[in-house]
Amino acid sequence: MGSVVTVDDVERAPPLSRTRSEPRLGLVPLRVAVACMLSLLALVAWWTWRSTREARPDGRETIVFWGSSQLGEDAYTIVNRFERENPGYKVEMGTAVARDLTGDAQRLLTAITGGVPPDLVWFDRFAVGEWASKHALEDLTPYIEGQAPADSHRIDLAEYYDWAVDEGSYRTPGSSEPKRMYGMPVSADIRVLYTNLDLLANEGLVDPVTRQPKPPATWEELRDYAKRLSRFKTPGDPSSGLTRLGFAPNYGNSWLYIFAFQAGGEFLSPDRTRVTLDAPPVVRALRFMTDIYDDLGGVAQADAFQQGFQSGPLDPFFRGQVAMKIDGNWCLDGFAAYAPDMHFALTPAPMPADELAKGRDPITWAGGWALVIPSTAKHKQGSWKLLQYLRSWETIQLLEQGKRERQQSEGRLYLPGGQANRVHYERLIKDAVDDNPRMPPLFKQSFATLKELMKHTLIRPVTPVGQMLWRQHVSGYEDAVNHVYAAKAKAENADEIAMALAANQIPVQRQLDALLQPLPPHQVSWAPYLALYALAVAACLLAILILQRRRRLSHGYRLRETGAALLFASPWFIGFAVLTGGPILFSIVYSFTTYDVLTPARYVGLANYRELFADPLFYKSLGNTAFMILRIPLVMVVGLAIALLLNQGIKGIGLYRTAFYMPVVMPAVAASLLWMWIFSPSQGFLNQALSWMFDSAPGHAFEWVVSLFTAKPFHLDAPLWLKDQNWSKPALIIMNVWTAGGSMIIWLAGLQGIPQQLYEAASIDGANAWKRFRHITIPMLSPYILFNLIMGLIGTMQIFGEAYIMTNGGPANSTLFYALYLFQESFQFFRMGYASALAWILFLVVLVLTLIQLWMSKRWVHYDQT
Amino acid sequence: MTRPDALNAIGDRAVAEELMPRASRVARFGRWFAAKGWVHVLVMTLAAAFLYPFAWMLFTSMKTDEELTSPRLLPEIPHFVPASPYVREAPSLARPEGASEDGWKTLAESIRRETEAAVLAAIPAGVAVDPAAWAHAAAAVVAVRETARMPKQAWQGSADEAMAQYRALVTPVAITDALADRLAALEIQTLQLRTLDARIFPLVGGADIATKITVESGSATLVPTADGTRIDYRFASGSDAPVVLAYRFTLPDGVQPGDLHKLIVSLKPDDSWHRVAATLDLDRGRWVSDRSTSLAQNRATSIVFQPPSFDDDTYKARTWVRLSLERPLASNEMFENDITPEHDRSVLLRLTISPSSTVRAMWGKATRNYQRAFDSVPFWTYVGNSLLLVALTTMGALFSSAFVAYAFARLRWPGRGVALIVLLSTMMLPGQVTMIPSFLIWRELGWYNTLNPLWVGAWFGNAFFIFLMIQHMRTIPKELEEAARIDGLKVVQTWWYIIVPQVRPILAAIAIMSFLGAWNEFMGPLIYLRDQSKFPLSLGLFGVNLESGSDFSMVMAGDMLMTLPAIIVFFCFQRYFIQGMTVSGMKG
Repeated sequence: MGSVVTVDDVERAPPLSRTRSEPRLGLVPLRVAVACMLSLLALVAWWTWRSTREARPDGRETIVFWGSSQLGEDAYTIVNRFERENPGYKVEMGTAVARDLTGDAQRLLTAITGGVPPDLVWFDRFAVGEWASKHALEDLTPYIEGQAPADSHRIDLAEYYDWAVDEGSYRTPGSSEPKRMYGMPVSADIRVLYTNLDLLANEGLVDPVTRQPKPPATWEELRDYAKRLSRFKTPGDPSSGLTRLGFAPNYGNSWLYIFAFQAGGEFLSPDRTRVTLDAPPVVRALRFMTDIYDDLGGVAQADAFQQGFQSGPLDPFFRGQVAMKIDGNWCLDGFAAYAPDMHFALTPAPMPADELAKGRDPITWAGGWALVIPSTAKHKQGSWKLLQYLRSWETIQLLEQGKRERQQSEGRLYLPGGQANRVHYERLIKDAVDDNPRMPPLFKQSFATLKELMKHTLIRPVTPVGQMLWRQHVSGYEDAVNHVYAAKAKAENADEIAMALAANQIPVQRQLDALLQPLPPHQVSWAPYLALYALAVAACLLAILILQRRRRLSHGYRLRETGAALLFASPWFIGFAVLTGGPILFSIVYSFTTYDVLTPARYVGLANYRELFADPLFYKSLGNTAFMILRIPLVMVVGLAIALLLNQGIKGIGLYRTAFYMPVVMPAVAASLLWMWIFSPSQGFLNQALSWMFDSAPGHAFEWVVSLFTAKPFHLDAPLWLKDQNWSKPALIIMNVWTAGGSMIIWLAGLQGIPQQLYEAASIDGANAWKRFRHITIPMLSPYILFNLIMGLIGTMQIFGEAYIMTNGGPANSTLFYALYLFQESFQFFRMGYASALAWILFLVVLVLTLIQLWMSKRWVHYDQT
Repeated sequence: MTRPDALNAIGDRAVAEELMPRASRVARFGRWFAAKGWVHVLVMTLAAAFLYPFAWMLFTSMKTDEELTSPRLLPEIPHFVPASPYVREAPSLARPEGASEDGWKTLAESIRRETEAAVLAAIPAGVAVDPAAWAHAAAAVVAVRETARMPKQAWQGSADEAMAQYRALVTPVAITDALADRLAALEIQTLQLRTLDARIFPLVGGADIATKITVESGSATLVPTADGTRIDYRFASGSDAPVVLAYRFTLPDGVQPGDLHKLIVSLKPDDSWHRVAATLDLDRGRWVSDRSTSLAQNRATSIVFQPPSFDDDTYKARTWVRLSLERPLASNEMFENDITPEHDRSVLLRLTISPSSTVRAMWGKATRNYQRAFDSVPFWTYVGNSLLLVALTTMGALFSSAFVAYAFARLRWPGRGVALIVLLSTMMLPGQVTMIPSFLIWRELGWYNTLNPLWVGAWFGNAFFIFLMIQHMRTIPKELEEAARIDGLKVVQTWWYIIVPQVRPILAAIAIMSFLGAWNEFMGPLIYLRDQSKFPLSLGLFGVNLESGSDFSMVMAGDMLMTLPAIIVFFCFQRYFIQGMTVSGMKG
């Protein structure tokens, strides 16, 4: 690179002086500069207006449709057909960029609250009830009832599976009014057990009569199979790590829901007003899951083994790395595409033996997608038209036909995807499976099982607290399988599983109670606050002017200068008043309200703060954040060590400095994605290097030495990093230490500023290297230490991006940092009042920390006399 | 100064080494090492450790998905493949669980021998590869697959029993599958045409291809196979003439030339990294593909050729190869193609397979994931948005910091002290505190789903930048300003003509910092942007990771693309950058 500033240039460049090559800024005539700036602002204003206005130049109405990628390869072709048939509409397709399509509607809901929602959305049916309860979704019942009988795209709900219609419909808990439909069911998926029959045969798990491999039918068999089909690095020692997974309760797509349903559990009372997450059947189901994980050496081992898994042709199930899994019916596509010759079985997920003995049918649960129209959508008629078009048999046939031709031309089997419309689904199966002579019998059999299961499947309860219930059910599951409550339960002689579920149930019940209560009476009216605030701002200005007059003589203030100062400071004044000071004050007000952006804010008094101090996640997130303070001294020490090394007067310092600084320059998103993979237990180089080291002679020698002092033989195992709740934060700290180059630069500047005479004088006095470091270097660097400390603390309170991208708070909330929790509460759950209370606490914490630091600095920071 | 050092100081190392006895040379190195060398070694090791993640990212971005599980840092290097089909490497057979070490050795040998014999007997005629090598590789596959399916108890019994069980599993189907698996061959399975209104027309498929398609030039033959047609070809070198296949057909009934949406060629590539491109003579024009597709890996895949259509205006992942109109056909070409004004439905599709030399293949492999990253998202739109944000943020930061700092550093006014403390304390304020009210404010202004909330704030000043600027403006001598006032300059003029030129270096530092800040911004876009057309690269890249997270070689390619501009800016403006960082740490 020719234009790179060479090392020596950097060395020699006198700081803060101008060189000839710099642009002659400041000598452009002022008028020109001002004119440029004004025209730029005008341009931006025009451009903003253009990009936010509604009308299109061709007069067509724009329907913004999110989630079209779910329709598959031919989505655009299908939509293009719609545009041809309905020349008045233009469909714009987009993606939601949602982190987790099951639990995170954040992007959509921000758009709805932002006032420019998409018009038609591919939405998780499970979440329909919750957003219907918040009036975010359009009631589709009048549209359905208003269809003309002759309408060619008429939707007939009788054709749909009942449970799919139920899941898309909502009524207020405890009420008996008829349900209204808010989400039009689209797809359907159910969970079944997949078994690798070859591995079963290999293990001798065969039917005694037919000698054919026999998939498990009961929980008891499943647990036994799971143990027998798993393989470990050291045979027989689960703690050594997995090399093959027999069965993991939560690998694939099962969740606690399926096991709880099977054991007869429900998550809500029949009238939907009480949460029953800790009911005995659910506890039983979770214990079953926990037991299996314990058999495998702990959930972390299983998770770590899973992390390197790939999809498509390299799927671990096809490669024999996983023997059994409970997963969605969509997995059949994978078998057809990549392993059509595999010996597998699709069977109903095993049930507890006693439940089967009661004569119950095998149980599974269904999920799927729905199409919804946001209640604030601009073009509802157009959206409904598009919705009807997308649900018509003609469109579905076109989509499936396209898929079929494509897959078959590549020599793959085509299988129809699950449809919420029973008639469509059965037609597709008949056509592509039953009547297809080339369809292997294994798949025909699988579809027969699926058709049967679809008839009587369960769904997750429709409730306004669905997201919260989901989150807490996952959290309860994580707490249980990670044995978070083991010690506490032992001390109190209680059941740790029940304890985990009971603890996680609290916030759900609380939110449900809050929703069921009548709304707090007092709406917030903003006018008085705004007026007060405006008055306060005006008072500040007035104070300046008064002081100016009063002190004109005593302090020599000139009116002209004060006026100029107000002009110069005005951008910051305005910015502060509108974007900082105002928001801080308003967030106090919000913190005393309940506010979800869609409905007006209402006062709740101190309720948010009361909830906050009783909220385990609040403390957890504070604790997690506090833990990360550890990174500050670590980064400082590493940075200082490098700076000291570089300060030894070696050649090529600029080059080294660049090398150490590069990680700091790397964009945080990019760095997070990179480190996510570096920490991957199976594919990241970190653990590849570690396991190589542990497996070497010195590694074994070390193990042997340590084993002399421990009861059990000692094993060095590479940590599971982001998958392990104990290692996730240290992993993030390691990633931070990688960017120690930032503090190194500052140390280097500080070190170079220490006068050499000090060291010389000390040497003459007989001080050794350590003493010189301790008594000269450290005190001379103390202002830098303070600066690093303050910036480090503030940075730590704000950790967000890496946690959001890499772990999203998991595992077991071990990386739920304060800022992330705040973000989730505000933009995922839209509990703006509660989140404002969190924000205010954060503000106070930072304020106190800063004051403490400033106070402490007086005692030990040495400032240069200059 | 010691003797060797003195000699060294003269600078003539050769002379010094000539003069010195060997032992003293060692001693000299020892002394150098004790004084400076260890620092170099230590720093170099540390620097290597800090840079390793970058190297890993770079090399991972060049791997295929099959290589991702391997612990090797470097991707496998593809080589020039002179002839296709060819035999793929044999997998190695691991000892199954339950088999004893000694017993397995002899057993493995007999398994190998017997399977190879069985496979050799089943090798089909007419495939131009070494049968022995093919049988060896395929037999290894059979052995690996079938031994895995045997119950583990089988290995504990007698060897004969185990062999008997094994034999029962080695069926003709297993052998045929293994033979197909180990033969890397280029096979075309079908050709399909789709129209703009979603009609599908299979054109030709299976063994028919061998009779319908002709080899126009190059050394190739077409061989019908079970479910397609194999193309056996040969290249003398990487610069050899390409193989051209021609297929003439008439558009299906009811399809006009303008209805053509896509032509889909389904094929099984041969992992040769040779390149396929297409030309299409249709309706008096010649269309050519705007890039070639590497024949990578061995999985069945499709190449979609597509003239301009409504798809081009969308943000759909570019999974197709665009055909663009190169020129109108000359009349003799039209004659050749049977195109007459009355009969304009004849089509000529040419598939060109160009050889890739080793270097070309390496380039193809190195850039493949990058190409995919570019294609899977509207990459340049994201880059454009990022750049726009960077430009507006940086301009705002420069203007506001220089403008506001002047009031604090050079002007005297009542309340300045208090205002300064407030300003400094906002430096400590985490953005999350004002996140919610800010969202509500921007939303009231109707600026949700615009880029405005992401950059407008910069024009009102960032406390940290203002603080930096204040520090510097304070060091400017008072006399400069006073001279200007005496010359009759107004305050704003003084600021612009006298002060701003003095703080250029710090402006440069602020520019770079705000560049990097805006380039990296993630939470703002996450909250404020709805449309993909407005996403900056950070959010876009996150989206790539969400949609194809397991495809992490592609994610790493995207990551590289996002990192590079930041690193380049850093390299070019290092000096200011480090100055800025240094200065910011100066005061407590």
